Amino acid sequence: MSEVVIKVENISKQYHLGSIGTGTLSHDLKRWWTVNVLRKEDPYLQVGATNNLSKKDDENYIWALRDIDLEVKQGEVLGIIGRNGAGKSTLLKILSRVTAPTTGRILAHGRVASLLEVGTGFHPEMTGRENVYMNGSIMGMTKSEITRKFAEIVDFAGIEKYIDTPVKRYSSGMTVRLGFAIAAHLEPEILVVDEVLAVGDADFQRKAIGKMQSVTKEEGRTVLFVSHNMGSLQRLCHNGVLLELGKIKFKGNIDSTIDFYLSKAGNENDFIRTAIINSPYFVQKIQLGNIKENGISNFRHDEPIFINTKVVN
Amino acid sequence: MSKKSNYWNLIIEPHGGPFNLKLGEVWQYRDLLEMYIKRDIVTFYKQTILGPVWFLIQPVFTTIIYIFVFGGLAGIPTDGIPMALFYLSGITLWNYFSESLTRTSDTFLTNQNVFGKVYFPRLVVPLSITITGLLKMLIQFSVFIIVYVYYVYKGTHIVPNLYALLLPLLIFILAGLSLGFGILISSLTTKYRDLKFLITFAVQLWMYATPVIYPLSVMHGKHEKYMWIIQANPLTSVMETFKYGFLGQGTFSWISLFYSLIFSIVILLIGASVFNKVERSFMDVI
Repeated sequence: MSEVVIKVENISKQYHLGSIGTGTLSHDLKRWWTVNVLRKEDPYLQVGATNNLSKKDDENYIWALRDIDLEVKQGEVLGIIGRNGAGKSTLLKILSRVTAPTTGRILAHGRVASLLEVGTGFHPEMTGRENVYMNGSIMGMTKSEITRKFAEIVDFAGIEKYIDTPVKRYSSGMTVRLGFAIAAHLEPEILVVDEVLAVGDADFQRKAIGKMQSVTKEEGRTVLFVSHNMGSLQRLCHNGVLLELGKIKFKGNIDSTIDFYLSKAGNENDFIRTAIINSPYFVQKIQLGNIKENGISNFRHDEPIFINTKVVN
Repeated sequence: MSKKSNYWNLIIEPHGGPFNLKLGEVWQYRDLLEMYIKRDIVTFYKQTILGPVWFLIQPVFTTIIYIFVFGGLAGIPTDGIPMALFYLSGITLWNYFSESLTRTSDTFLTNQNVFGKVYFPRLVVPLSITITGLLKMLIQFSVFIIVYVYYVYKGTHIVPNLYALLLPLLIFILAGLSLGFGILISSLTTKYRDLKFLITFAVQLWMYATPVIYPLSVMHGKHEKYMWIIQANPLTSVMETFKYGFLGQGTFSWISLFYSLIFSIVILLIGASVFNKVERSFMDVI
């Protein structure tokens, strides 16, 4: 088996709710007093609710991520799935070192490049050519690397004609295509990607997915990939992790992770949630289950599966 | 799996080391530094007709205004140095300092979009601002040289001396002070923006506490009780040494120059360590 290249140990991230200003200074002072003078643990690390977007409670601190443990192997493509607010982007932000974790640590072996957005650092006044160099260097490429790949990048973006025109004159599609083209030609050992494939028209999207596939399959790069598009996740990833309210809910191969996620999408594990009622009898609900419980979607290969149907009249 | 301790080349932890300047990392990103410098200079004169000439026009106009207001209306003496040269030297140095300071002091605020999306040593950005300013100052310095040659040619009595060779040191002190204070302020303003309002005002006041528009000798005679402010000001010796070396007038003292140098290095180290500490988590509070 190949070696572990990313090791996430016990990562948590706490955020402060509300606007910064009122009360922040007093909290800062209290924190400083407890940690530096009394030599005790940070008082605010003891509190904090889970990140439930819909429920309002009195806690001022929430845990966007709580005790995440994860190992990613060389060449593995890991899809990170979860509802909005599950902590996917926070995890990627910590991995790309945009923000620091509150507790825990991450160990990585190899160059990590993050792609949380395409075209980071584009300056509207500069030409496409200048921006390729600017954005490329921000992403960690050296000048000679960019020069070597310049023709390829421009060709991939399909904007040869406009390369010496300021980017402010580009259409938005052209800008994101150029941004993606640069990102696609990065050569890090570990790539962290956040939902950036959804750029450009259908034609370009196909091209982008194809490029991602060749990056992951042929070049054997380790990739962490966040997306809400189950189709592209299924095509690109080997394994998946499901985050829910800042915790890992499920880990496994991509198909079972997606199944688990989709089965959890409703409040219950129902296969029929909306029914068109035009007959006196209709199936209200179909659930899968085993001997012990109903409404689950994962079964061992040797256990009996029950199909429960609820018919209403 | 037996792993050497250096197998992990990247360790992400809640808190960085207590004191880490990350100069090695900045060096790795030197191409990015170059790009930022280039971007700064190029975008400055995009869509202008005169282009880089604007770099020269600014100090010339300011000098003309100063000659009129401070020299003419206020009648502040210039130690016998031609007014144009006196103001030009002060303005060139001061503009570099104040511009670097104000621009580096909102590094985090103006770059939060980029900083929020991708990691690179943040120090690259303020460093590029300081270097861009330096290039601009060197261009503006040519105006000073031209005016200088003009006065020498006309036969005005100007006696430069060997202390003019201290110019690189003076520039280093200026760069260190502006960068050090700038990144310190930018780190402090991520959470509480109060300082931001103070800085423009403070820079203005600072200019009057620096012998830019008046020679130090005037202060000595007239306002002895404020002298301690001017002597505590690390910029004083820079201005005075410059005028002493190039124009042969002013006050020079190794002690105060040494004081400025130490001041500059200390503030640079404090600034860089605070900056590197803040860059780890500023995205959450900005």
